[in-house]
Amino acid sequence: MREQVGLADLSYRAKFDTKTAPSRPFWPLGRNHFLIVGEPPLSPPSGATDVTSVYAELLLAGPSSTAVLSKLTSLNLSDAALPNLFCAQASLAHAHTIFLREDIGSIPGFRLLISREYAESAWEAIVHAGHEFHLQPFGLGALELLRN
Amino acid sequence: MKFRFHDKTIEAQPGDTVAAALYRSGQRIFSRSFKYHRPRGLLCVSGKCPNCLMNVDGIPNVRTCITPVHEGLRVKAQNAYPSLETDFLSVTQRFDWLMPVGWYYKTFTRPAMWHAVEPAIRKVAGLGEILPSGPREYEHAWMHAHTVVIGGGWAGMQAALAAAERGEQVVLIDDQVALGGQACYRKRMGPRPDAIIARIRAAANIRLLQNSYCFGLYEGNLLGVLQRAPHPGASERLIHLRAQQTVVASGAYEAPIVFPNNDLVGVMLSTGVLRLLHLHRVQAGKRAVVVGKSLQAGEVAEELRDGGIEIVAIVDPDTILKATGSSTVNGIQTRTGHFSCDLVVICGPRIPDNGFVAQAGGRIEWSEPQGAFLPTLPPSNVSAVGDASGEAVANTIAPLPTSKRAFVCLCSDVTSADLCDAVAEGFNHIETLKRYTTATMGPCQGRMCQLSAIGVCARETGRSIGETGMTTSRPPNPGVSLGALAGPKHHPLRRTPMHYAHQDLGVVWLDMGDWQRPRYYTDHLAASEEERVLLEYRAVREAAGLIDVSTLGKLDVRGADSGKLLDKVYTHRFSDLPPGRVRYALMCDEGGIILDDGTVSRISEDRYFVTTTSGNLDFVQQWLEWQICATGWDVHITNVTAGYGAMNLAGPKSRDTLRKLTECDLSSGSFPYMACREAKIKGIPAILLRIGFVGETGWEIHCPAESAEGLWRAILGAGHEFGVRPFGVATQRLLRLEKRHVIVGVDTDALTNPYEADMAWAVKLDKKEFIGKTLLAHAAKDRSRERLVGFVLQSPGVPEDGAAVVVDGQPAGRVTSARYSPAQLAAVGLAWVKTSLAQDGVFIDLRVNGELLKAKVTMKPFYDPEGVRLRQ
Amino acid sequence: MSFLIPCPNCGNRSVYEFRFGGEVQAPPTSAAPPGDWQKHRFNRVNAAGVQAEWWFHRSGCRQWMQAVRNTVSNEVLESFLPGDKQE
Ligand code: FES
Repeated sequence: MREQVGLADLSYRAKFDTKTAPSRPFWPLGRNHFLIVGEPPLSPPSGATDVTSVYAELLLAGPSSTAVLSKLTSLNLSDAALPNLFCAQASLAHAHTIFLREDIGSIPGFRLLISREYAESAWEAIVHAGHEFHLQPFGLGALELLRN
Repeated sequence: MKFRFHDKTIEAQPGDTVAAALYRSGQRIFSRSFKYHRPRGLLCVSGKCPNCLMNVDGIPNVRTCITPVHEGLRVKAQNAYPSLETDFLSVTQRFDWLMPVGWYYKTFTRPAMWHAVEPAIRKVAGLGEILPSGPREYEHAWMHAHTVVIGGGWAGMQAALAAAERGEQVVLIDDQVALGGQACYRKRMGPRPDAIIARIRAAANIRLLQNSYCFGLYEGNLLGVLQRAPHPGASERLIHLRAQQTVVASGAYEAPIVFPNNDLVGVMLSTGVLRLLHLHRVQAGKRAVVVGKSLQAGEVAEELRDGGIEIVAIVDPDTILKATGSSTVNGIQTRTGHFSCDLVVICGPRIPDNGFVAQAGGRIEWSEPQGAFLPTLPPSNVSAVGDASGEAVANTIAPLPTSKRAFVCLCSDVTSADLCDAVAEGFNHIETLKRYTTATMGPCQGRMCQLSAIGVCARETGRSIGETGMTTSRPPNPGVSLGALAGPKHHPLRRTPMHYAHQDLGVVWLDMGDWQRPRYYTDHLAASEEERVLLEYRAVREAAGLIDVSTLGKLDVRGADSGKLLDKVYTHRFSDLPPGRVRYALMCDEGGIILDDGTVSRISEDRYFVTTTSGNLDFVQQWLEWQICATGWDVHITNVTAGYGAMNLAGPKSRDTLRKLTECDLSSGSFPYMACREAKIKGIPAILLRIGFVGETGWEIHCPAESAEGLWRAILGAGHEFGVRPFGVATQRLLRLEKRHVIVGVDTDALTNPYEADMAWAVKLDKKEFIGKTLLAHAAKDRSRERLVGFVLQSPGVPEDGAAVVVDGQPAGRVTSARYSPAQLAAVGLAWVKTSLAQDGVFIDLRVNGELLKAKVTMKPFYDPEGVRLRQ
Repeated sequence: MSFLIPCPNCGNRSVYEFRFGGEVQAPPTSAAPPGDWQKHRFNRVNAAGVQAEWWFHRSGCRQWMQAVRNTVSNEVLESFLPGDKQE
């Protein structure tokens, strides 16, 4: 992951969808539309809809992650167009996806929220596209190691 | 490095293209022409003519002069039998008098004649054939850049560096074997620009796409780029490249000169000869005649002499009578004499390659002093630089003698005589001339022939070249393989949370859009679909069945104005729906036409749970969002389809089964038909809707997706003792049809209103305002249209979906769904008929397997018409 | 057809990401006769020139917006979320 690119399944994380700007950190999805993502347990802000089970969350991280994604989406993923801690929405492998750019230190990272029914198919497409970059699936252990 | 050419092994040197290695090994004929099967050899050596097309590793029509060699390549000639050197079909040129221009249109004027010769023509027509080969991977990719430069020659590299220095993100596309353009093979351009190439490679904001070509510049500055062999795992990658600025630096290419036998093997363009010499260290011949105007030809002759090629003569094009030789050239006949040689070097006109500017909407106009068509007024985001812009281009147009052996179009063997004939026949506009003769329409897309064709047309019509004008440049040019356009084989799949549980049960899948749904289950392969469906049917009617309905669209609608919105978009009333109740929901557009149906459950005072049909979810959500645009209403719609697994347990034993798993009171007293509850089943939080699509006591259970597979297995386990079975969509379709339930989009179409579909009960015209009200009120009174009725077939057989309804020998409607009903012991179904026939007991005829069979109309369900079972 | 539509939420995106929602037109009043509703439902101006249109950003923010587009050149002159601008 440090040198090439890795893919992890972080679907367990809690997600809430709301129309009013919450008082805690959020991702803006559009006018009057916000998303909260975090480690569970996470209490929902009032009026928010729990979408934890709606979205699978995949984490694609590593220097080649942009190259992998550019084979699957028309979204401009350059540092200028989607800097760290910015988000965007577009199709990825033909499924609607919310791209959350969240680098791990200096390693570029993309959290990909994909509607659950498409997630397995998207996972397969990412692994296939990542073949030329030696993409490896990784678990939470490796993620811990990377953070420290 | 070695590769195979038919059964020969060819040695290649590093940096070789297939054509260069073949030429070095002595191969001179590279292809046979399209119509006359004349032998053809290398001409441009830059991928711009049709002469070197071969089959490489099973792919037809590959330009071997720009295809790098790699170990083990398999190369074959095409359009030649038995070999390039002896092609039987070359006799066709003896019969050229039989095949004048447009001979297809002139000869095969009667269908019978065409049918007689078609098989033979099909066999010899066309170029190349697709050979079986290993699996090939095609990729797509997307890129974004501020500035895209097409062409890696001197001007292109300068433009790329300048943009990079301005801090722009740059993409540089080059289709040649090495960066540097002409400088790589023209000594007069000075030394190779190695320093610039190094700077390009070092610049962090220049992305270099080599071995790639741009095939079109589309609206919005979208460039189609094809990258060959991007990595060992893929043969081609199609890149969608968005630019803000496009710089066309595709240079100028050389075109041939027209004289008799100008297509003989060994007649080559000067740039081709120089490329072979300097890029591949291959001498194209030993003794050369250079054809061209003095200055240009002199320079070329000097370079060739330096390269060790003897120059026999420099010949002015104006004096040429013809080239001599039977298949390979052996000399040039001029007015002053004959010069023997084995190579004729043509210094032809240089054509600025500016089709992309035209594609972007720029005007291309003829410039007399430069002898070229040049871009004028390019759009603001496109510019042409270097030779593509015409700077430093100065052509003198050589004469265009009329002869049946002077080839203008090499791709389809169109001669100058053919063009003259066509103009004489009235095809005197360059666009009609092109279509009639097919000149400029072959693999070279006019690169080699356009200027000469325009020249002939201008001369024959007495117009100037500028007045004659150019044919329109359209992408893709150069061509792109269909595989590259189609892209990767990945097809998105939507899987329900119980996907793998179905697999364990021996599911047979049904593809519905991207969804995979169980069609039916089978535990041994010998059983037919009918048998399995009957088994599942009996389980539902006699015990209970469980079906995965996770594909239903599910919307969470909350906020104070939710009821108001639902009242507006559905024909029924929902603001008065008490919490804990479910209601059928029918949606119409302003025209009163049915859009979708589903259910609305009120979970709590300000929270509704809405289901839609599987295929219409996106549409319904967008429709709802559209209606609240700019209203300021307090409604929050969330698509929670993927968040819930859903299953429907139906049948007389469903209560007994469910009771084992939940404390929720399931008796009809406290959980009646059309009620909903939130409850825990096996500890899993769920929403239960007491509804019945299949006409039995039943519950639709929605639970968090991650728990759904567990719940599915638990219910099947609990129901085992009662004979509960899973059932699929095939069985569900039969069960619902027996209840006469309509499927929107199957039984209804884009013009159906609820009155015609016999669903007047779902429309509340007394409601103040809702979408479609005015026209629905109008339709309620209109009896002139058709009606959807049920029918029971009176004899054995099952009509196909879509079968015709016949009354008095006239077509009078159609069947939308039909199945054999075990309850009626006959085929039942739904059909559209005239309103006058929509009465119980009327007989209609249906066409079944070519026979007319009687069917009896009914307006009631075929099974349990009073709906007793579903309320039990 | 590959022009760009500037989405107020997502920026310039390819037209393929959007669903076309038709011309912007005010619906008849609820008291209007059926003929007016039929016209509203089935008739289009289909201007060869500038017209206001509904677009839904299906592959992006999934919100409805209006765009003013020249149907001849496919140039999108402006786009905005409904309610942000009073026509
Ligand atoms: S010789 Fe290869 S394309 Fe002309």
